[in-house]
Amino acid sequence: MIEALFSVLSKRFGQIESPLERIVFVQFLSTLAIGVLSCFFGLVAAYSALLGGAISLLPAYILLRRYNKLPVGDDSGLKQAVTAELVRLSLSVTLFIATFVLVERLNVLFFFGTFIGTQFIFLVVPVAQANRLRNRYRKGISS
Amino acid sequence: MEQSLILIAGGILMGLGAIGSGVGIGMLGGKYLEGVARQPELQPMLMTQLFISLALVDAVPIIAVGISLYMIFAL
Repeated sequence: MIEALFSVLSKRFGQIESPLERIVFVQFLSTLAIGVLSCFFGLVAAYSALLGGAISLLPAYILLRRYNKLPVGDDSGLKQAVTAELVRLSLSVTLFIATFVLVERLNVLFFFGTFIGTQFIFLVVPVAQANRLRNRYRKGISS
Repeated sequence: MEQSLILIAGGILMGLGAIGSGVGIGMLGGKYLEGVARQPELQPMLMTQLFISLALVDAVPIIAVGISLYMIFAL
């Protein structure tokens, strides 16, 4: 069952063309996976991990939507990018404040662990893709 | 006294993160403009890379902001 799920997910991942969309997809999956694994440590750990992932995922999704709205060949790219980053930052701060004020019992380790882990997916996915391309290129040269 | 020290620490944490990301985003934007000025036909590809790099550069100060907000609101 896990193998079937893995093959479906990898097929879906291969169908996504936009690199940013791939990153958000991996963030979503890893948030779910960490949330499920955190259930072994208790309910508080599980929802703390899911909250941390959601705080990372929602601003990234907003960034993705803004990126998808850009018309091709538009020359206001830098302005759009900086505006999207500002929106992302302010949304993150709002979500953090809402979490710390509204949620009374929070497992800080799982919360920040998931948040930091999902933030670094922005680094991991492009590096993994670049490595895969490099390996494919090397295989093409050697054969 | 302790609360004011926590507030000062949170402010320093946010400020140092903001300095680093400001320098990083400035360099990224400058290089992006240089690249588009040299080869305008590569603009869509550079735009994608810019978005990903901006998100990565912004990740560290957002983490710093998160930890400092935790210190301010939850400690």
